[in-house]
Amino acid sequence: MTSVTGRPAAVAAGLSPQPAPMREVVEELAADRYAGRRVGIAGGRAAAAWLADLLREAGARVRLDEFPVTGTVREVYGVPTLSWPAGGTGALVFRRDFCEHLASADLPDPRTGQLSTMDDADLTGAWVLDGRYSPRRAEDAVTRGAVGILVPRDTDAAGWMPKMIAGPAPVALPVLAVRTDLYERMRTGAQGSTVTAAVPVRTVDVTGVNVHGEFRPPLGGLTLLLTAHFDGVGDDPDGLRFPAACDNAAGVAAVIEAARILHRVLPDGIGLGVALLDGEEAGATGSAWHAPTVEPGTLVINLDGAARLGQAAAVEAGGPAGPLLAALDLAGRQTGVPLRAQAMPSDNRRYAVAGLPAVGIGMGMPGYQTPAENPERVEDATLTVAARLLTATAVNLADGSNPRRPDPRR
Amino acid sequence: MSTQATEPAAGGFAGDPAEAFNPPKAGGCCGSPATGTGAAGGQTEVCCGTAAEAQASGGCCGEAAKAEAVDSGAGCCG
Repeated sequence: MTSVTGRPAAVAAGLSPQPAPMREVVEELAADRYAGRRVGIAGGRAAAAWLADLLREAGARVRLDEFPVTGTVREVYGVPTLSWPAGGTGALVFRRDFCEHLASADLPDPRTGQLSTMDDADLTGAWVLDGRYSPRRAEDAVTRGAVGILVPRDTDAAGWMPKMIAGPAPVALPVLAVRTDLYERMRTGAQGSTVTAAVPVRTVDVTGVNVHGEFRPPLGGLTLLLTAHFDGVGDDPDGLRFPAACDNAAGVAAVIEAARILHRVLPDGIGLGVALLDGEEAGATGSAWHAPTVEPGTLVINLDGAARLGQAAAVEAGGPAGPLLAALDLAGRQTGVPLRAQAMPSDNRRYAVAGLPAVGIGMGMPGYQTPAENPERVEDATLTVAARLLTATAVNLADGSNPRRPDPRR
Repeated sequence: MSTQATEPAAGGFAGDPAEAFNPPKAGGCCGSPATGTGAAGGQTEVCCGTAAEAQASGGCCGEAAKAEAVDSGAGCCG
């Protein structure tokens, strides 16, 4: 067992992260006026502008960088509907009983058809129940005259169907995901009854904007880049809110707080930047745009989720990140934050693909991409330990304190 | 405002930190808790895939895992 050495300079200097400013960031970004911060909407741009001002106030030189997002974002532009009179269920509730399938064709007006399955000989005019959906099976259903497809989907523990927006090219039929128990009722004994549904969903091309804050210019030595995405999946047209407090207003708040501290405590000559990224929910497009422009050798730490630590923080490393990972491990032991190797498919992967040493850290997203993901779900304690972990990692890198020697091949 | 305490007992990696270079597949999407897809065999959605799969596709998510997650109706973060 390696002993814990060193003590974060930030702690020694009395510069511990404070929860109050982080909570202000979380509550601001989750506010109604930003409308869930989906890439390309006015609320998302307003959030970027607010964050730019905040970074300036913290002492950073700020730059906004726009980028195109094409062919990816699936936008629900009206409220999808689904009714099944024979089921005796009354009006079915969007995102509780059913939701859009990301591969759905646009169906702006309601369409009625009989419930059928792919095993039925005649699918003409039918809504097809298909528990084994694939694009190929959708093509088959089109050929056989179906008017739409219904697939099963579970809800989260609170009964929501989490919203996502990054979709593939649509198939030729409207597709809805139906709550599993309801789907099963439709499938067993209800065939021949009719459903009526509308799926107003389309692919939109939009412009995203990354917010860059340079706290300390790179001087050819160690340069650290802290990243977190600020975008969400956006509110629904019926006013259903998706505050995106945990994923990832919390991560943004912790990154900014850590940068504020590091700006004061890092030794001269060490570069420090922050990238608050747009478009993560649309395929990590903001980091894909940014990563190729980053100076080689820059150490990247991405934080996605900082709301409820639970047992351990998830950590994924990519690129030549051995020394960075060792500094993080030491920081975990210094700050008492358990770390666990776990997939973190987020912006960190874009930086790793670009050949940069990158780690992704996750500290929980309760209510993930549902209306329940509100500021009350974000723990002050987790915000604090997240900022402390980032700060200690950076200080360890600056000190060169890596008791676990990195694999030179990494 | 939440004041729930989070007090980890011991910090750092319990095992070899290098495991973080090839961690297990995500059980959910982008670090989220998994949600099942129920009727189609009760399988758990696996969005994004491993880091190696994502690297091979040059993106954030492995192509096969992404397609599987989207087809199931759950969707994928990227």
